[in-house]
Amino acid sequence: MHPSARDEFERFVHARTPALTRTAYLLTGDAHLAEDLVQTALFNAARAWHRIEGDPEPYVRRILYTQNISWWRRRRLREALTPAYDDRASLAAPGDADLRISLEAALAQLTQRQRSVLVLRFFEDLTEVQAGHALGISSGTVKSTTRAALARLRALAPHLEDLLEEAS
Amino acid sequence: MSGEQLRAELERIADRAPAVEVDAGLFDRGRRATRRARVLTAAAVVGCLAVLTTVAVPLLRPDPPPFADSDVIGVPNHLYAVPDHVADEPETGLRIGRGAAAFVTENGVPVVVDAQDGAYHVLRLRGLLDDSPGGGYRFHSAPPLALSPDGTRIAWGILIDGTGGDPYSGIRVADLTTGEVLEIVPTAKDRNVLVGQLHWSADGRWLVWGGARIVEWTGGGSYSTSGQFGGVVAADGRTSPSYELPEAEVVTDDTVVSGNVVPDVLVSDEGEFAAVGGNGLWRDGRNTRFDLPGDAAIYGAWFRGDQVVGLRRAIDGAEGRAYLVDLPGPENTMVRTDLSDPRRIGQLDADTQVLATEALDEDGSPDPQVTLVRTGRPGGTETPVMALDRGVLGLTLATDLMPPDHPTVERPAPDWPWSPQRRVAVVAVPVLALLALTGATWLLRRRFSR
Repeated sequence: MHPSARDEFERFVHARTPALTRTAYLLTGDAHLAEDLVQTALFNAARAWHRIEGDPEPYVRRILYTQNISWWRRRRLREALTPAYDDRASLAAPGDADLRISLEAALAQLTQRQRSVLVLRFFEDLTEVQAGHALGISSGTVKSTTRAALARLRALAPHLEDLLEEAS
Repeated sequence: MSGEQLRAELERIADRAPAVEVDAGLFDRGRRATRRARVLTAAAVVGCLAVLTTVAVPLLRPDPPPFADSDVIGVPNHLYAVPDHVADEPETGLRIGRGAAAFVTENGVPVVVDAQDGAYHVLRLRGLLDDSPGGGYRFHSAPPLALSPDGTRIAWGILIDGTGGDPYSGIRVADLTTGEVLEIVPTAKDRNVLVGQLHWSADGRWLVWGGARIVEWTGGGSYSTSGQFGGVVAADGRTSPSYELPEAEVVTDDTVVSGNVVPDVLVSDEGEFAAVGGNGLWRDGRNTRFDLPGDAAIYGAWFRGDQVVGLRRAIDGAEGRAYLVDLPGPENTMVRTDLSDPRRIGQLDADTQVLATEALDEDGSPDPQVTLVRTGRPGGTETPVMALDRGVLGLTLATDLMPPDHPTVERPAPDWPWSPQRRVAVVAVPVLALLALTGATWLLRRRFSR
């Protein structure tokens, strides 16, 4: 074991875990799953730490994205009929706080790929090319998925039209 | 596309993300997991290779060559060393048909190769000197074991250690076509003889023996000996008197060395006994000294008609030509042979001698073989006719089954039964490989199916 490698890893964990957790929460919509996702991504990063060259964050984030989709595929079989969000928020509840909850609830109705694309594009602020690279799909697919995701959100939550219109 | 408002909403949602406590030992666990994965991968690779080897290698192995001349009785052109796990399970009977070759393994286990089909018969030759717990002898290079020229009989020297009775020594001759065993107990001055040499006459009608007189049994099959004796046994079991042989001497230009030289015994087709030891030929009750170069010795002697002939070559390890010499001399014929330490094991006719070189496993010596040496032509010829595996020792051949123009026949390599270790490997390795793969899959699924 290389002591400096461990130090570097621990420094990275200390500095970047909060940000990674925020992304994970947006990707999963569930606090427990988000924590598991971050732990798993960091664990995989530790396993491959000696092979990571340069900034490890893109590597860890990619694990975050792909692992989440992989989990979602498994969970989908078991929890197809169960809402994933903690608060089981109602779709129709206007107002500031309600707007947030409503957006969360609407996000929960998207496919995992759609939600991941939205998070990467509008929260992580990645370009279509970068988002495609991170998810292992083409930029064209990112574009079409983004369009489909926004259209679905509009259909699910018409009161978010202004918010989504700006994004479109 | 700005999406600033959407981004702000997402930021607000993200504010609800939990605080994640990362275990301080996460890095170490990750490294250990990497090592485990490598080990599992290596195990899986080994397992897959083992499965592949087990399954594919037998398929890739070329078909065994067809039995050439399989309907012809003959001596095979290759003798294979018998694996230990085969040698450990001798046959119970001696009725095996006709033998083409007889030899012992490195552990002294006698083997007869079938003249009809080339099968290898590991025999239980009761009392064989090499097999005797009390004997303390190892006759690997030249055990007292002799296959008759026609391949129907095998003779061996015995030492019975006396468990359940008195110890004794002698000779047994088995008829391989019937399985019957004849026991002969030659005596010398009313004492047993530890028979260390057995040879058949060229026509197979006589068996000559040579050995040391046992003067005292010291318990548990042990003994002390004194003096060298020899004699002849007829086909019907009648024995000649035992001849006391003079102490062999090796005479060089200025010294005479005696002791530790065991004379070679020989018998003619008429049943005449003779012995050659050191520089002496014992015949008709007289010992006649003959000259030898200081660096040479006689390695085997036999009758050619009524003439005694010896194979003279340089002393072990020294280079030099070999000669067939009339004994007591002085006529000699140079033998063209490059063989290292050849041993004469028979003849096909008066001018065609069968010489063999043998070797222990991985002793660094040249590849052992059987060679015909023809002396009738100018300069002679040397023709390899049989390959020997290392560990084929004390070879005797049924020379009647070796026509000079086609002395050996091709036989396929023996299809030895699987050893217990191989059986275990064939069963266990795929199972272990499967378990390793299953375990690796389970670990991976467990890791990722949170």
